[in-house]
Amino acid sequence: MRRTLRILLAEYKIAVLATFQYRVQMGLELLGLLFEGVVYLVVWTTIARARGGEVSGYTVGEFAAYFIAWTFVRNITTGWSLSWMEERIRRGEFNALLTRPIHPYFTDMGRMLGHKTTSGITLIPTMLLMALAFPPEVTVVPWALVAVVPALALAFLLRYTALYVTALAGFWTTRIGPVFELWFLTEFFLSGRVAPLAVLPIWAQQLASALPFRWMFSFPLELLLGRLSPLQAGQGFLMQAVWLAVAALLMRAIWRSAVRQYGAVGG
Amino acid sequence: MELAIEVKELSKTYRVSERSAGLVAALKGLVRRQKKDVRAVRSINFQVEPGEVVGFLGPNGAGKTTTLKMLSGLLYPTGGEARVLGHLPHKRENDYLRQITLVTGQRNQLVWDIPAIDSYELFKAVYDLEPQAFKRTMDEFVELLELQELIKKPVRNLSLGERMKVEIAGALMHRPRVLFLDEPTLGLDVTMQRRIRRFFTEYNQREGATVLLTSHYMADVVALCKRVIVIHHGRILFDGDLSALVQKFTTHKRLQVKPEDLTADLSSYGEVVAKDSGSVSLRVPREQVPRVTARLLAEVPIIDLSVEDPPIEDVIETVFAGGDDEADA
Amino acid sequence: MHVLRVGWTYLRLSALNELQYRANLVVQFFTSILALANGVAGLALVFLHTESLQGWGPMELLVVVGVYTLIGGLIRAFIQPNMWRIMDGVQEGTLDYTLTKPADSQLLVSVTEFQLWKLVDVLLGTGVLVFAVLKLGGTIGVAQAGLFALVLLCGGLILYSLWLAVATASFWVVRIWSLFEMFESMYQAGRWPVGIYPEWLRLALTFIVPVAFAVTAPAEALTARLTPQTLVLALAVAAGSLTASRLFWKVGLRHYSGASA
Repeated sequence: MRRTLRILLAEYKIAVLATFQYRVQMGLELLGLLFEGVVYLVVWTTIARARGGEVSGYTVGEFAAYFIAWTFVRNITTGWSLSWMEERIRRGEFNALLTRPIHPYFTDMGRMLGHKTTSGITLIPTMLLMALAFPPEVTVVPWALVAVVPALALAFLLRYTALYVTALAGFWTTRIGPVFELWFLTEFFLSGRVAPLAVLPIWAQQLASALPFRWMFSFPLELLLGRLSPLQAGQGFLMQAVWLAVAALLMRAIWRSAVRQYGAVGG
Repeated sequence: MELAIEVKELSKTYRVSERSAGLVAALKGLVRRQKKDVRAVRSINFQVEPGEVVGFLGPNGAGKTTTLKMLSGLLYPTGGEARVLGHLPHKRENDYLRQITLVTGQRNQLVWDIPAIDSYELFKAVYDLEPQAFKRTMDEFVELLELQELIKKPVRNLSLGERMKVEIAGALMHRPRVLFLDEPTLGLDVTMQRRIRRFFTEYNQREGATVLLTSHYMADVVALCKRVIVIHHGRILFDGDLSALVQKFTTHKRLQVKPEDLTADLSSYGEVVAKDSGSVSLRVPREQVPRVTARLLAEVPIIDLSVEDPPIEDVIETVFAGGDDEADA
Repeated sequence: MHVLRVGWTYLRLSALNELQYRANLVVQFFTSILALANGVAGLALVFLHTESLQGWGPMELLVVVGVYTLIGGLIRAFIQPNMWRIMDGVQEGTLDYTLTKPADSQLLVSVTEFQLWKLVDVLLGTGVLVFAVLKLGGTIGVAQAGLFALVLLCGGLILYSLWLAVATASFWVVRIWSLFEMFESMYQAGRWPVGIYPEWLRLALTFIVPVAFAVTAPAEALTARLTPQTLVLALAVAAGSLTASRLFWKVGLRHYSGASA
């Protein structure tokens, strides 16, 4: 266990150094991320203004706050995709990872966190600019700000594991791509990415809470904005833990067969 | 008869940014970049008659590829002038481009996912080839290179050697008058190399095309070229017949000796370069060869003895070594 | 004309080749439908809370989604693959082959690849916008369709010029992929009419990533919102950007060939 952590840390450090070289490229990629948020922000604040200043409990300023924080949480929870895994296999890098005495899951995690650290730092001035252009209304809830840290960590782990499992499934067939596009489409709406979940019809909100999507994204975001009571926060953590356990079990179940499949197909 | 290629005082100089290691240098580099001039080709002169096959020899970075690129119109010369078929290559006139072709080993120009025969269709359109002539050429090449099955498969499904064959056929589909071949057999196995060399020789003989070839492999040059130009550090060190090259730069000769007694120590006669079951290779300065041969025959019981030129690679190395001394002139 | 023949040959061969891979059609269809569903669901969500978005009603916004999908299909079928190829060609040195061919290099690099199945988006997009226009109670007259096509063409040409300019930049700055990706993300803004964005953003979306011309303007043409000023501007910018990008391409080539620029 300690060895795993040590290696994770080592991969992390290297990733930070490596990605620092590419901060310009990274900046450009982040602009893309930012843009998506800005688009939704504008759409919903336009609606709010037309509706007299508020939609589903979000004022214009609160929408702004939502989407600025959205950028932050998105940076933490974005993962690599199925196509990235395929690309890696094609380039033969996956072979190298498999022969190391550590599970690629952790190697990749270290690298990913390193990448996110650099992009997170690059993101801060962007978020400030966003705030200048779209003044946010912020409610500061001290205990929530503390609770956000584990919530973000769990959200990251949950989404990372879920994405990893889906990437592994790609070993069996590339036809699985469309199936996961369906997953992503659902996630798009039910995770709070397109709009705050409060804006969705009730049935959709309930579905979002029952499925893991809310816990991967919206939950830490809602916490950050101070919109949850301590009880709701507690329930949220529970849901995150449950889904993480599910994802982890799936991961373990699939891993062996995935590697065997990978070897069978000839890598 | 008009010259195919005429090169006068041709030069190419690159400006490169220099960056030394270290944080201080990197920071300095942000403000002011240190530039250095690299003289890749220095005022070279040569002429090629139509139908000649000329080999360019030189180590990496000697200026061979740069010269070829200038002649095919890909690079602008920094100084001097080059004329190919009466045109100035860097102008890239369509009339000029229709008559030349460039073949680079390991870099493909055929479209990857479609069969070669489709790419040939594209060439037909691009080069505006007359359908009958095009068909004739294609049939001829397919036969010469045994491409019947290969041209119907997507290029990515072919092996390296097969790919090179279809590439070369495609590159010549428009029957160019001048061929620029840059390491065309790079990475291929010996059989395939021979196959391709034979094809170029055929083409040169049938069409009277002028061929400029650069290669690492002496075998390419020996098989295809009578004339070689040796380039090193951007300068021409030798321009003439391959045999003359060997003559001029051979300081030593090889004596292949088959002594009766295999354990005999022959080191007093010359430098023992190789020793294997049955024969010994001695390296002897040229002027001493008659005397050493006479001594050997008199003093040592010998089954067989022959005097040979050193391997061409050695000769070339000597030429380069000589060039090194002139490098910074 | 030689140029047309060359272009047509490339197109024909790419298409014929793609036709073999019918499975790709199915996958593309599925992906396109999902993307469309995404767009429509987004609209549905918005109209749960309002009746119009800055004067644009649900069917009118559906027209925007249709145009967005259509143009997206055209870009991914014709423009994007070729521009990526230019970047690769510069990096790998295979661009040299293109430059030794007796045909205009800009033409050659622009037509090499054609992704046939991406045209599914063109079909779907057209279907959606026809549906939406009919629902608006209008009929699609010849004049209106012609205007739409003209504005769409301008938008397409402007986008092509932009992409070409970015690809040309790879002559100087080799690692330019991120710039491409940034533009792609900015393009998402085209799902909504540019009128809703604050002034500064609208300007960016008009002149930097010309979403306004590519998506909003054609949509305006179909919903009777197109002003003469916009039309003239679209035509002017199209002509201007084509000229500018070609000039830039030539400059790029000179740099690549080491001509003292």
